[in-house]
Amino acid sequence: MGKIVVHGRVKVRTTAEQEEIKKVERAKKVAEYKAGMNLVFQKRRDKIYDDELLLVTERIVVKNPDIYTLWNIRREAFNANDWSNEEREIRMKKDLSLTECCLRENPKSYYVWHHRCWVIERLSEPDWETELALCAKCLNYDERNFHCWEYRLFVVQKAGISDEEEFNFSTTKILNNFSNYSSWHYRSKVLSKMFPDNTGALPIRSDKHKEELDLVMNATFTDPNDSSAWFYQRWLLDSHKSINNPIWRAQLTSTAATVVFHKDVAINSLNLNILVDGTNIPLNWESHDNAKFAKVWSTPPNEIFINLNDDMDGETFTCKINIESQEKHNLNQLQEQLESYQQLIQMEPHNKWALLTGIFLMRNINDSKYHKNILENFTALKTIDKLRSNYYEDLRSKYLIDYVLHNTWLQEDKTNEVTSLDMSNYNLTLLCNEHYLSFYSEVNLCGNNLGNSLHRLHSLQRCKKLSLSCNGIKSLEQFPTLFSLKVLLLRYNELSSVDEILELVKRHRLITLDIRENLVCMVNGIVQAISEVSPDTTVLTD
Amino acid sequence: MEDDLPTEYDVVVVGTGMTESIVAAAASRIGKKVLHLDSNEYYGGLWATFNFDGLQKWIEDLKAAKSDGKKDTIIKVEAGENFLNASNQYSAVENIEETWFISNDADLPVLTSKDTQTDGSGDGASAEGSEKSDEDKVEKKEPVKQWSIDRIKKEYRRFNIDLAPKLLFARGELVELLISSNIARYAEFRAVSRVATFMDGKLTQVPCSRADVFANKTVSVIEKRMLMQLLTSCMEQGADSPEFDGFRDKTFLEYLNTKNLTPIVKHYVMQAIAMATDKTSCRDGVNRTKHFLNSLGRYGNTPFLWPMYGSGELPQCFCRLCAVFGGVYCLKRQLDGVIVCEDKCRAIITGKQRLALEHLVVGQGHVPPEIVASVGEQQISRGIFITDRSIMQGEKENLTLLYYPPEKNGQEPVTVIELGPSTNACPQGLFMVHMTCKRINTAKDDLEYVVKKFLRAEVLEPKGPRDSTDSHTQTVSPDKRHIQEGDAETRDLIKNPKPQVLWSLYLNLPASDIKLSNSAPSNIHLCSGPDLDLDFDFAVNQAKEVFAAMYPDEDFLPRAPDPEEIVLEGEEAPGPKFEGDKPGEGEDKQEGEEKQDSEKAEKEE
Repeated sequence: MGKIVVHGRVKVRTTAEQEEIKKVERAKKVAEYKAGMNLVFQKRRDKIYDDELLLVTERIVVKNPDIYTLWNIRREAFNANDWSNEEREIRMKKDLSLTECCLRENPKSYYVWHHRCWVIERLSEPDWETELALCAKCLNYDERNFHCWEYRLFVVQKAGISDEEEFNFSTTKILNNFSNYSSWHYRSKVLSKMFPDNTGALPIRSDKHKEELDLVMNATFTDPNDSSAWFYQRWLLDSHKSINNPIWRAQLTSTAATVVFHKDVAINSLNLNILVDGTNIPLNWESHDNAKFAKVWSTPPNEIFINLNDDMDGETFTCKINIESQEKHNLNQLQEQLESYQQLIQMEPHNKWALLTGIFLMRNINDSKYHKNILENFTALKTIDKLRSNYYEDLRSKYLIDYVLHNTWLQEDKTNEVTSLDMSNYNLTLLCNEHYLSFYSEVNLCGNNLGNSLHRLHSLQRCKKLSLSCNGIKSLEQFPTLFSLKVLLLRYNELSSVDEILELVKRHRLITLDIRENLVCMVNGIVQAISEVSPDTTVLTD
Repeated sequence: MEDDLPTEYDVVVVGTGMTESIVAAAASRIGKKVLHLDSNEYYGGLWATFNFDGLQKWIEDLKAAKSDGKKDTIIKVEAGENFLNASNQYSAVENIEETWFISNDADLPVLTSKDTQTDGSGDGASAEGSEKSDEDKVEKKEPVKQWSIDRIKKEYRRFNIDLAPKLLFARGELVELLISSNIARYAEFRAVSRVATFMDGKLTQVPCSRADVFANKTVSVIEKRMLMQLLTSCMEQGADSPEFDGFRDKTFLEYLNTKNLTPIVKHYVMQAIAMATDKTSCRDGVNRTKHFLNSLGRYGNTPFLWPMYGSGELPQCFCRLCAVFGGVYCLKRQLDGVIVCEDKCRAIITGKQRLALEHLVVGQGHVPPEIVASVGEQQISRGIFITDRSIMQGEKENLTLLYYPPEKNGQEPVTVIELGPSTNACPQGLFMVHMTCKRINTAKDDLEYVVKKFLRAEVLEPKGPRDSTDSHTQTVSPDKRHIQEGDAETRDLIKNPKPQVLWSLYLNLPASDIKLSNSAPSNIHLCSGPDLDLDFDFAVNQAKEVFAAMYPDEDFLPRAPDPEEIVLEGEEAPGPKFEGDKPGEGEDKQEGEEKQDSEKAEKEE
């Protein structure tokens, strides 16, 4: 019977045969690699930077682009050789192609991108267009390759590409796939450069801000579980307080001066002076822990003596600088967005991002008006996203403190009274913006959970009466030394160490110390021990 | 022509339709001796794709065949054997109606123009560089040729016209099979670039991917969320989820009505994504939605792929694999009949030869009537149109899928596929529109309401120069008779006139659901013709069933080896490279896009 063969009849290699072939190939590769590496290192020791070295390193990096030592050696070779300009140029260009080959193997190799940067910067006439095209190609394959984004930024600056083109580029990338931290981030950079907000209240100019808020809202509604869009939105909504005058308040007593700033600043006697009746008083400013940048600067106690005039109300003089109420931008839009997000929360009650954005929007619109709603959102967040409940607690504490301070200041503006601050029973887990607490003589923090924030109390140097009752405090180790402190209430905590209490008493001149309802009260002779250290202190125990 | 063929086979396959070709490849792949016959001189049967000339010939042959008297062969058989004549009655194409709407060259006025039509005449304006060549052509100040009958006939090679146009779901049975069997290397695809729907009196693009939904400006953010939410729940939960418990015996529409969706969102889901009618069950609707969504994001902006050079390419890919593994091919070789003994088919008679076999796989166009139980009801109405512009103008050339639901009772939903020059379906400046629906009456009657809606199928008077305002496409001066309603639709029509039909062909294809009788020999396996579905799943699944019936313990199309894994018998060096092997590294992305992507996908699996 004749056999009609149409195409050559095929036989498929068995797996075993293939394995065998692979094994042989592998062994060969390993041997080549070892020999090559030995050669390269020997030549480097001998400082022979010849063509063979370049050839061998090239062969190895093509397969193993992440061996950065080889790239270093190549650069050494470029520096060591005394080539003519033309030859150097040719060799450099060859290295450009080499890096391109390597990027095909591994487009996320730090060392290859770095080497490409090094080479291109040393070319006499770098072709930035080609580089841009390479980036475009690479970002087409993987639009989230941040190595390439970074290299692209470098190229764009060199090539003098206009911001507008870059803005369009980012738009294209985002429209293609908005789940991309790199392109959103790049967008934020380009926009801040193109359309800065002169008022300083927004990250970018108001009209652009409006467009961006809409764009990102579209993304968040399309896929509310994609975090990249929400992050960009947060950048847009984060408060950008423009503070022209960095000083918040200053206070003078006859023996001390303290100045509180809104943000961390570095101070020396040259740029902060106190003039009393036109006379400059030489002062020696100190910060807590001698930090170079701090918000609270004061003179060492009892170092200065100022004659305060009688009409300055005797004991202290406080200078307040009112914070100008900021103009609100795009309020209507924010209000509309808030409504949309509230609908989203109804549709998807378990979406944490929508709840969180709701909080940002409400704070942007009117903190006081939405105070209750903000707290409700926090409660919801803590239940649906248990893993991050501590984060939400801390964020809530931060916003609450802002809220309380804000209201207190309003009150102060009316009454001109700056004595006591009540932040009790808020369940705060974190004390922040503590520099604003610097001038109160009475601070009530009872009914919170500030056991972990004791070290932040250092700004309460003017505080005479401090309540930290009901705060779940286990240890006083972090408790700072407060010079003015006379009355300290620590009732209903979990203190158990006598030594810590004695140490605290030693550092202060307390009149009253309340440690009722603490484990430490069970220790016999505690009152005795304290009075030995500080006989004038009245100790309240069970 | 009547070569002597070897006389014994494991499997004889008659007909080179989709199912037959897959089975042939699968049998050959596991080492069976396969003979694959087709009475035509082309591959594919009713699945074929023709150039314009080939199609004309096909039509002529059909007309000629009808007049031919049927001549039954009389064969001497051995004792106990029965001879059954093959019949082509189940592949009867009916109601062929071909119409020209343009004139011959002789009747056309000569006109010149600087900036009119895009023109892809003659010399190789390649498909890939479509946009570029458009610009090039505008520059040239040549006499502009209008499309004429002569010109279309002259450029016959630049047409690829499908009898049974079908799309592939990016994660449908066929794509998975092409990848798993390594046959993908023989084929090239283009992604369908948009899914359109008819809404509020005009065609719009349906946002189906996440990127589309994000960029869409017609729907509100809340609607975006509704849409994404609904899609996600269909996709993730599937029809068996408790979400759909209350809707087991209800329609998809009834389910959607409970979801508080806005009309736009409901429309998108019903008509474009699920491609459902009012009667589609909830289960079907959810499954179709899921199928659609599963296929998104793999290759392009929509879930669909279109085979370059037409659907008819695909059966040939399987034939090629069959041949590589030793299958014997013989075209223009007719099956005269089968020899049956007891309940087995022993042999076939073809060209005076008796060929013994273990299994006979036969396309429905060759089945002896004696073994057919029912002829089926799912007949197909087809319309094919060459037009001068897209049904929906876009900035770039698009490959469009449109599902158009019935306007009133007694109509069937129609699937419209519009192909541009870059698919090689037609030359530059033209579009190819395919319409398909279930047959009720004749193809022309069944499709009429859709043709009227989207095309201008009236004879074009060979008058003076035509208006040409749009640099991207050829334009036809809007015919005022069309647009006297004076509404939004009218204004739209003046701006975007309906595509002018240059040529049309209507035909009815036979039913795909014919059944063999229970008494049919158990080693005869029937393969259906093209079915009504949008994709090839039916054919792939049927091929799998046939193969499982023949060789229940064998693998169905295991991965074919790469060239380097193949040694030709008696050789030690690796075999020759497969045809259509990897495109070169430097190749333009546009060109090899789908292919590279599918290779990438392979690696990922």
